Amino acid sequence: MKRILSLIMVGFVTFAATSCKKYLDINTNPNTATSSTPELVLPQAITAIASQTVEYNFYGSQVAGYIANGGGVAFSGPILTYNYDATSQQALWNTSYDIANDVEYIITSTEGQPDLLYFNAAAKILKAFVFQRLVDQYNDAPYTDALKGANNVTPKYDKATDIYKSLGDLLDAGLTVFATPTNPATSAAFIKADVMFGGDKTRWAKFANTLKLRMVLRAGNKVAFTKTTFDTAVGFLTEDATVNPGYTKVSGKQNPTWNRFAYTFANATVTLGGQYPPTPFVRAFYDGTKLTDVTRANLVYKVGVAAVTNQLGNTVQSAGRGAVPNSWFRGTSATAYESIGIFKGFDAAQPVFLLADAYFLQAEANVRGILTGDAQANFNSGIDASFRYLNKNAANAVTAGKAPATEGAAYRTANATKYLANFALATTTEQKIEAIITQKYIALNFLFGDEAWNDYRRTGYPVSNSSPGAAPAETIVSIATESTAPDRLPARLQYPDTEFKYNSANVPTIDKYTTKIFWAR
Amino acid sequence: MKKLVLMSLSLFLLAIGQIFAQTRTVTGVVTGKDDGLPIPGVSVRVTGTNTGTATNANGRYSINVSGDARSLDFNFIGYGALTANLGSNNVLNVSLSPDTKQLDEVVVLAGGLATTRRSQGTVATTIKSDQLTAAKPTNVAAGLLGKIPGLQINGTSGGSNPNFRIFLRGLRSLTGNNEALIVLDNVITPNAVLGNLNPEDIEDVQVLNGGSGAALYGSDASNGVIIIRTKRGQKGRMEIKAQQTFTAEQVAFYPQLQKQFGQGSDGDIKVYLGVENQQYGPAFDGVVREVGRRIPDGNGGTTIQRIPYAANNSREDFWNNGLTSQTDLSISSGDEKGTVFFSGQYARANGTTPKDIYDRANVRLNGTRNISSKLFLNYSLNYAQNRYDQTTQTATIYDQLLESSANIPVTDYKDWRNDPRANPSGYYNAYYNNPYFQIDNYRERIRNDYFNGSAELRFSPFKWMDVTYRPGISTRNNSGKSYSDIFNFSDLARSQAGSGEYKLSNIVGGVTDNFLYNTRFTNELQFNFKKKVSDFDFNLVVSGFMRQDAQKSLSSSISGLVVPGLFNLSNSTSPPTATESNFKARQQAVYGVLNIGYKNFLFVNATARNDWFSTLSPENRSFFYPSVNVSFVPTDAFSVLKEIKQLDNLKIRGAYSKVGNVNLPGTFGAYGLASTFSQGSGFPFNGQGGFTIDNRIVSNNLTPEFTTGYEFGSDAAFFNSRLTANFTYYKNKTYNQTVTTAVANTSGFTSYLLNAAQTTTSGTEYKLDAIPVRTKNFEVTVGANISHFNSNVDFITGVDQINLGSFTGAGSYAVVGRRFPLLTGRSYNRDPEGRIIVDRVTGYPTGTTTFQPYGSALPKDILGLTASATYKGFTISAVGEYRSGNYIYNAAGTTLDFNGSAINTVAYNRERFVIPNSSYRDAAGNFVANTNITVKDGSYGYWAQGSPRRNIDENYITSGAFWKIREISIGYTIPKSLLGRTKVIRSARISAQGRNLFIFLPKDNVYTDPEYSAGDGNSNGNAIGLTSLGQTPPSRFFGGTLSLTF
Repeated sequence: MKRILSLIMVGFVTFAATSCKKYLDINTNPNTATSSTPELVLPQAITAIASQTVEYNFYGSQVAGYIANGGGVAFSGPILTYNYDATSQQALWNTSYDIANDVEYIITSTEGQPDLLYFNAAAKILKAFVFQRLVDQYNDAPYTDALKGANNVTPKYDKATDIYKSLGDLLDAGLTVFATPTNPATSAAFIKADVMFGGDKTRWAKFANTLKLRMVLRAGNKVAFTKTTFDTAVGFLTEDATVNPGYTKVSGKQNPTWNRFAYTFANATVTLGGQYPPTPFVRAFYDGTKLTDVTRANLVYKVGVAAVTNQLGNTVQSAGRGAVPNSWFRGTSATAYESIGIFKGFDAAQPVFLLADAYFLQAEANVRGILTGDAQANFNSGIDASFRYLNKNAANAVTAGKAPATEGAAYRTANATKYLANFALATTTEQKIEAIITQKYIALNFLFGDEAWNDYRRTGYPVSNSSPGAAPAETIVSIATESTAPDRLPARLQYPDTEFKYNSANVPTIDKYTTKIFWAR
Repeated sequence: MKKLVLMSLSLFLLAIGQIFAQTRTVTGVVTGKDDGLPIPGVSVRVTGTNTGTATNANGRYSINVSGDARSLDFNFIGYGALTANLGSNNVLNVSLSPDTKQLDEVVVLAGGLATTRRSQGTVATTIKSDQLTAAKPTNVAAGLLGKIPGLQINGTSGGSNPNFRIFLRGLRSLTGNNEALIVLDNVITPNAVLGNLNPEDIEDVQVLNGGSGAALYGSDASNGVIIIRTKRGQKGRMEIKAQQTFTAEQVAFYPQLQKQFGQGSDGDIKVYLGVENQQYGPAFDGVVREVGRRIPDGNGGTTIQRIPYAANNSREDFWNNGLTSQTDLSISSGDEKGTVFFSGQYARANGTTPKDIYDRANVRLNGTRNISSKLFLNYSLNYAQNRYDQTTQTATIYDQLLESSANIPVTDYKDWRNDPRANPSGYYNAYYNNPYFQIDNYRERIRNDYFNGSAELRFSPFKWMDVTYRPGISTRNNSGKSYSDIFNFSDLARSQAGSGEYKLSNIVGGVTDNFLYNTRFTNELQFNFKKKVSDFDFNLVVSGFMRQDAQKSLSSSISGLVVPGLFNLSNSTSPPTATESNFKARQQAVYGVLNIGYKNFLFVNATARNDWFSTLSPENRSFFYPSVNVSFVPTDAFSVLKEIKQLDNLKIRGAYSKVGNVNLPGTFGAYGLASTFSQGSGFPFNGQGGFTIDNRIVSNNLTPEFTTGYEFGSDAAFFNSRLTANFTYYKNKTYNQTVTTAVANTSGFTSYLLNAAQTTTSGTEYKLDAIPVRTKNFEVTVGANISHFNSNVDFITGVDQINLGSFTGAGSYAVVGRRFPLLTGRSYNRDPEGRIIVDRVTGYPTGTTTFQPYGSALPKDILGLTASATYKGFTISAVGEYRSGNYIYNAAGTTLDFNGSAINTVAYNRERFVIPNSSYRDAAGNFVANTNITVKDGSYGYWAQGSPRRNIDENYITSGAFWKIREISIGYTIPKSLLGRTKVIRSARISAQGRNLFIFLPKDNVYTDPEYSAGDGNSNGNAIGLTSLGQTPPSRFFGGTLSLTF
């Protein structure tokens, strides 16, 4: 028995020691990639940034007065009352860090690698873009400690002004790489991966420069940027910055604005879009109440100046409702549409920075003495660029037979008596700024609601009457506002739920009505 | 077979007794109460004498008794002792009840090792076939409810084939698997098998509550083990059993709904709106009103339907009465060479959801064979298939239904194809489609084929040694197709629809087709050595074990059909999408068990096991764990105790164990060690891939988690086993827990997988069974089992809580220093005196943004009560269960408040009211008791809104306590005399039974049966305490059975 026993024991031990390893080494994941490359991450990051633009716009459009809840739809409170809680718009925050993590991966995995120079530079510029949008809604945020994975799961918060300064440095670094003539031509890999500028170094440099201009203007004197002058040789955007990885009519692959508010890939109406009509406030810039702009109204709205409106917070059944599939779609179905305005098509590029915005930034910089140049020329170019963008079709070309510059000129003529359209009539700096920001507001209508909201909080334009009972066309304030601030508007978003739950020691205490973003008035 | 083995023992015992010549001869047959079949080898003795005999192979006995003899004692191991009075009649037939409490009952343990109850150092409960199937459950788990201390079974869905989550001794693992390990015919088997096993095939179920009793089974045994043995053929006779059961299923436990107010509301005004889902309109007045919009009148014109504005019951009537028909047939036979047991079952269930059909067929072949005197084969093969034909909208139609006001005759809208009022184009509700249409248009067919096979080949070359090889396979083949058809809304409907309404968006149709297979192989080679050295019995088992789990699934879907009604992946407006996943994991183990018995009253059992897992890194994949338990029977050790007549036996036991468990998330825990990258949304575009870093960080040094624990207790039997009791205390600690903690998104990730937590669970279990009455014809048995648990989170590294699952608001959490799972939610903002703070102007309260703890989501106390009585051929039995100490979040409440169907919304008749126990801040900022500030709107403006009402989770958190009558069954065994002289039918029994019959809830729970919680153990982790409308309402079942034995 003893012999048998020991034999068995030897058998088991041998079995355990030898057969084990090979038998058990089967833990390689056959389903999902466990590694990647900057070449594969960059296009995704750019596309995700484009998609997030839609969400920023959607939130901003409601608070900045572009769109309102429609009648008869049961809306949940905070977006109407401004009584934001920790879950309100939390996706903006969470998605930003998700995207930033990919961008950070590109930066760290390309740092110091000459053949991946442009991936590194592009990622730095994108990181600045992602954090600029984030800080503008949340002010202080984790930045230096953020995106460290397991090394720091409770990152501390950095001052918004410090983040801005650092973002400026990122832009400078990225710009320098793209703007240095002696640097080599972009690689085929970069050209393929760059779904925004197709590997065009000049456009990247201009984009970085324009973004920097936006931040410098916004920060005013509150941030001591390392470099405050602008490289005039690089210049600013000369075309709309748009992203198109190849949007097509397949599940998950449509233009994100179209997919969110117009039609599904299977041509079914997306109900969300129809739940929101424009506001009387914004329509007043088209229908003659404040300005006359029938041409642009017919580009922006399904039925032009006849668009049905509602004021934010008005929830009665009889309140104005959105059109089908939405009030901005120029057409009758997923296959019959004009391919202009905001909803150009399922395959249209997604704008992330409008040329019009770039011109209005330059105009403001001219007025404030940050850039030398003709503010009025930039102002007019901004208006023309707005007409130009709206006249572009899904292929990103101005629709045949349309003349944006002519339309812009006609617009200025039609409103020649108003300094909001005729810059020459704006005599004071304040009027000039008001004219520029108001025109930017019109140009960004339902495209960049967040930027309009940022500008409103920074400059107070376009003018909105905050008094209770103000006529709907005169105010962006919700009639259901619960805000205790003098302007009866929110100052900012609440930090998200995830931070209170998992980073509670660091998340700052803020008041959504009174704690302002550092650059706000 | 057991009866035969024991017969020889009884005969031997009887030989000691003397036989006296007496005055008369009494004869009779002894049968088993469980199956009505004769029992051979029963000891029959004249009470108070040594005169005795035993029954023969046909259960017959003949005994000479003296004139002064009053009664006979019948004794048989495994059956309760019976004393039957002698009458004048010379024939005395008796039937004995099975008794599972005896110390010498043979139990089969890990690795097929047989042992006696006396040597078990841990608590174990055995449920016999008849106890399990008294109420004719279709699922084994349902048959265990309320019968075992420490066992908690939660339904996770209603419907024809409900899913269950099975826990023993509460929870240990925070985010890992806590479900008991299932061992079917000595082979560890996936839990899914439970729902596909024919309960009629089961011989017995043995439950080992703790890891201590189960260290031998390896990983997952820390969760306790449920050992299921299926029936074997009986040697020496053929038996055919046929059975037919019909069971009706009826929706019970519907949320309480208001029937005072109908559809409508406009802001703060109670306006009637004929297209509304919300029920904040004016009070019902019986006036005929227009409902819905214009619909075709059939003559080319249009009309609007008009119905009386009065409440009806159609929301309740919507659900069908389900019917399950279950047909069983089994044949068992055996001879010297071996036995065979064959069974088949077919069950068809029509569920409570209209048109839901569930079919199940089971075939089992079990057998034993003595190949030679030294080679023995034992096998069991089971094939089961089930088929579902059901709607995919189960999760939404319940909600959809409750989005209809009480005045809407929902059940009139069945014929949506022909009736313009029911057609989605003309359906009255502008926001929620016709549920009958949903049922017809969104369907799925699922087929599952299960095969379980296990075999044991035992070679016994020497008396002191056996070698057993035991392969097992458990495999599931699944395929399913879900589909929906195109529906285009009419121009008339579209032209009237408001923005955002569903009628504006045509239904494009779609198909999803999926396949999955899942296979587990196990292989075990076991050496068993026995040796007796003077007073010591030694038994050593050494075993090697291997297991492989593999799964593959493929799924493809399309959205947007080209040709209506053709549900094929090729019939699509855009390319199909496809996903694939493959998993494989392996495990190896060697283990040893040493049993030492001393004089049959002291036993020591020690186990040691080493596991190797493929799912861990090579450095961490090997781990070792031991256990030891001791059992001592003082009643056999000390003669003083033996003398106590009332005390039959007493056993004292204690155990310590450590069990390792690899508890990685995902299928089999495979591939969990590396962080991953996935294609971003929409990618690839145009040949260009685009990857994003996935959101989980993984610690680079993951190790197994371990549960160490001890338990002690005792078992005692009194008065000839008329009273049995046991008691157990246990405490265990699970450390090194592998948890996925949520982390701040600012880290760049959302979750972190690491070894980071420890929990402690302790508790007590009691079981008491008594037979207060036992006479020849009448016997009453009552039993109670009580368990009390406390699972506590000791620490979680880095975070103070983990979200186990949540709805928008309330959630089930593990919080350091608290019981878990802990139900938390947003509560009212309260002043220092605890009063609800309301706004001085609006009278509205507000909720906190942070979550407040409410209490355990798991019951702290469970009480199970069983009772049965038999009188002649009649048996009546009942099982009740009480659970308490827990809280539940009823997500349904927010929906019901939103649409205004909730009973709570009429508490103040939709008038303005003062929030009870509230206060407000006066101008100076002081809190003042609120006696006069009413809510601004007592209707829609308050009840349907988030901020003052629906976002305050406290409103929907109720006690989770309940009393339930789980089972009642009444059976009658038809006497042989009535069966006539056919001789064909040996036994016949009819019974009526009900399950889940009654529930008694605390007053605040106006929603549903708190036993049901959303999701099941696998998909929703351990998020207990959350329910929603995402399942059909819980049902009660009642039916009748006829069974015949030939």
